Amino acid sequence: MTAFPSYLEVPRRVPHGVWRAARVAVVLAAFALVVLLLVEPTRGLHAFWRVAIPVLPAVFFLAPGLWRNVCPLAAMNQLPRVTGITRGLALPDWGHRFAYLLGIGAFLAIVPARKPLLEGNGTATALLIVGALTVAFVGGLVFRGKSGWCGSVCPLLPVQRLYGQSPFARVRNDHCSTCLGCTVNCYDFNPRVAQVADLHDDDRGPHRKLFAGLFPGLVVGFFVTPAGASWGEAYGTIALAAVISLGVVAAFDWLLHPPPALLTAVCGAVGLNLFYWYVVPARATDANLVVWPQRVALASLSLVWLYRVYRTETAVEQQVASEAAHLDPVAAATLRGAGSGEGEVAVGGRRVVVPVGTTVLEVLERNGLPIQSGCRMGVCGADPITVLDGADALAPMTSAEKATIERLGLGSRTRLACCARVAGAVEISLDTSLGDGEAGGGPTFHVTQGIERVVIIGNGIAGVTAADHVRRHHTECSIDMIARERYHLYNRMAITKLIYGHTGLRGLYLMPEDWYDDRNITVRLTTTVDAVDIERRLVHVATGEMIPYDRLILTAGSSGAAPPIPGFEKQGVFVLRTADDAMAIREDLQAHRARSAVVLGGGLLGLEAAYALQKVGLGVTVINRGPQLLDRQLDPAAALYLKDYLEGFGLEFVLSSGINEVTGNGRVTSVVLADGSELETDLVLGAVGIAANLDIPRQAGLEVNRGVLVDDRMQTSAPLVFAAGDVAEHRSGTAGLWPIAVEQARVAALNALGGDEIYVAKPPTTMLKVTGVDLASAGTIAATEPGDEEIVVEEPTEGIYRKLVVRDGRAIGGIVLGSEADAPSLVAAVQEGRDMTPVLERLRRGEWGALAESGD
Amino acid sequence: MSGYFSYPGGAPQHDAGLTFLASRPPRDWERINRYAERLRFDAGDVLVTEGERDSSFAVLLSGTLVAELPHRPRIEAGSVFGELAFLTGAPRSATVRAEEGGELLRLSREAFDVLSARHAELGRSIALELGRIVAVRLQQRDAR
Repeated sequence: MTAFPSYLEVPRRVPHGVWRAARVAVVLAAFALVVLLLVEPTRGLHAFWRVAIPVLPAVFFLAPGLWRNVCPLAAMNQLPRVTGITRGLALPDWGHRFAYLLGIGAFLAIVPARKPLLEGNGTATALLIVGALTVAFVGGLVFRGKSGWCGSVCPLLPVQRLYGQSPFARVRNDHCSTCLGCTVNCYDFNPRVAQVADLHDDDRGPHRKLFAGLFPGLVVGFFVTPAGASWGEAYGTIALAAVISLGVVAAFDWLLHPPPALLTAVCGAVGLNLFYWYVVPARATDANLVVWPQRVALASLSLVWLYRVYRTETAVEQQVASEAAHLDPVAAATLRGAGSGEGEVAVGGRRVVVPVGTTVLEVLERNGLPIQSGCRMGVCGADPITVLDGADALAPMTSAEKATIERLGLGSRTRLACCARVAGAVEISLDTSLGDGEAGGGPTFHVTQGIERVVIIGNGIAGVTAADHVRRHHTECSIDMIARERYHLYNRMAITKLIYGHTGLRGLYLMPEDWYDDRNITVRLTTTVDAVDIERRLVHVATGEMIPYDRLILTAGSSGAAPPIPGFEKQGVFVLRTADDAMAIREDLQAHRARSAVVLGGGLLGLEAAYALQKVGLGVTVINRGPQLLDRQLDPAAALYLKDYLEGFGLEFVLSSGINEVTGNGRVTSVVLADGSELETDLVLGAVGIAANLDIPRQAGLEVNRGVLVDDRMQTSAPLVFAAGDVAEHRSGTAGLWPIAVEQARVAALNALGGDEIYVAKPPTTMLKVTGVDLASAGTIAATEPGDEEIVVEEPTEGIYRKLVVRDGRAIGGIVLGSEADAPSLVAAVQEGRDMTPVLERLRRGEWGALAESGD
Repeated sequence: MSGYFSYPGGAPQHDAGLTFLASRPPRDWERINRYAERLRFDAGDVLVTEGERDSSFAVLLSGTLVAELPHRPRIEAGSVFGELAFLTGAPRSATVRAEEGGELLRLSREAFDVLSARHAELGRSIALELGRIVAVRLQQRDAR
């Protein structure tokens, strides 16, 4: 309720001593008045009934808090508290419920007695005052805080509540040095909230409305009762008027349901205006000059006041409606204490606190900032950022990252988010144009004379990397790239985003549009190569064009393999390899309102695709031939972790199975599994692996196996033709991974120009994020030879699995699942084939941190 | 009881049922901490922008925030906010600015999905709890 500060939260403007003195003075004045009433009743009665009482409603209306601080009854009530003689009992429950009603009753009883008795009888009035002072004092003696009078039975309280709804001047409660919480919806604590709260209280709400309804009638009834009226006449007239008024107000309430605070405020305003309508003429000398301006002024003020009441009520309602949920103290303490340790990334006005070792990519992804991701190893260059401040607080660049930044021609302040691990406070920007671009790299060897034309078939990462290296070492030659696809190099690892995202290829391109032009490279997109004439060094394009070359680099890549399953040609059955495949799937599932999908293949692409399909709302079943997921990257234990997690995500799995047949009349309606069971589905996606695109090399007469055979220099069986990437088959196998393709392309390009580079196969490394699970897998992931040792450090409840495979004391492979920060040390150790003997004992004891220390 | 009025400090006069995940063990909070983002801010920083779509809710750990609404409601340390946008994905209804610097934990829908996939029971409790809080408010409003 902080938009409405309680008295404890507002500064004290008038010193406590002043209020105290005022209270003493007012109490003394009250006793003096009593004496005056007894000694000189005429003057006493005039002072009380003609001066004090007519002034009070105006005070209640303008500054109710002023009265509550100086009221002599309140002072008497608080005397026992101030002097410490109060019993301080809590008001019983029924007291809270009925005290207010009692106060209303007392007020209703006293007002009609004024004309027949009180205003003509000094003794009776004196007795009334003394009686009230006494009851207030006794109330204070027995009950704690202000619950014995001011907050409960005081007969003036109903009137104060009626007028005190949205005080023009708020006066801080000076009676209570500390709040005892003695009263329900305390007016002294927080008048504006209390009035609304009261009206919504099951007990007090109706009481409040009852009094408000009676009030205008009460005022009229009182004033139309003639002076000196009999008891019967006085009570009869007032009761009749009050009941009529109550009826009108109640009908109004029933029919229109006005906001309750506004309803009671209207009653109060009408009552107040009527009161002064009757009171002032009796005292005015020149009615027209004084009375009417006064009446208009009061009416205008009342309207302002009603507006304020309405606004306050709305605000309180809104605030209650939006009152924040909160933590319990244990939770708050745990979270405050769990400071996640001392990395800080500032980006776009946000400052994110992260554990040391977190990558900037992770920070950006988790905050939903626009960043792409690809290989997560600094090879693809999908995620460049500019470091504005604190470059030293980032882990140093790896050679892969450095090479990629050079290829992209980005500046020295550029980092790749996946490699930028945070060790302190950094400030970054996603705008890479802020870097001070300075691409490096000139010839480091003697370029063979007579190379004027280099043709590259393929525009994937291998082709682009090759083109880049050719241009860096040979500024003169022409470079022609021929690509089957219709897009420039894009982030193939993110194509599943095309299935669930709606931004199309935007953001998937990996290079600025003018990259090719800047390097004077001619690209032909959507262009099919018909044939390569090795003898005449010509590339025949299906358009009829013939492109001559001095050196040819083949980077034609691979395609998604279509499994030989009956019915796989039906509509609604797809493979996923290119951006077009992904967009076709998105179109199809919309056009056919697909609700379910079957993904064949539990490898990387299969799982990413399954996640993408699930994200667009389909029920997805993944069918895997083997007994575990990701069998290239994970061992069975880690695969189980992953499966558990993905099932938690909502994916379903059928392992050790396959699809025997796709059925449906023209369009798929179900698949028949290996065990003969049938599974209904609206869409089938095959992700069972890739096959090198061998049509061109076969036609050209190059030696092929599963790929184009290349030697360690990436040279094919034709001396002027080199190959790299997925299309190539080196003695270490086919690539299938971007880091491998990039290294092969570099070697192929340099050797094509006359260099003598040797491709050295490194342990294959994959870093990826499958639907929120961080995964790093490097080298040999399980013990395969006698003497190999597997060290596993896991935290099952947190889904963390770490494994290191050691052969002859050296790190040859491993897995890190679910703990991104632990990945780099594993990958580094495996890439180096590091000697682990110094830390082996500690690792065996489960101290995974020893792995990182072994590299220091 | 209306839930309109409570005295600060000490126990609230009556808990209107707005304690988020009451009496869960610290372990659960450590997990929430791991999946959530911890944001640090200074006085004057804008933390939520009106009209922005961002399905996340947040827990204010320290500092004070003010929503830019006519009655300028403040969000105090220990408060949970943004749960409606988390549940519905609706645009933010008001800009929220820091009045006093501090830290908050923000759990996005994506992070919540990951958390629930790994800790199903905790995820379920968070979802039910946020739904319950919204329901309690509805009940309070209906009772008026």
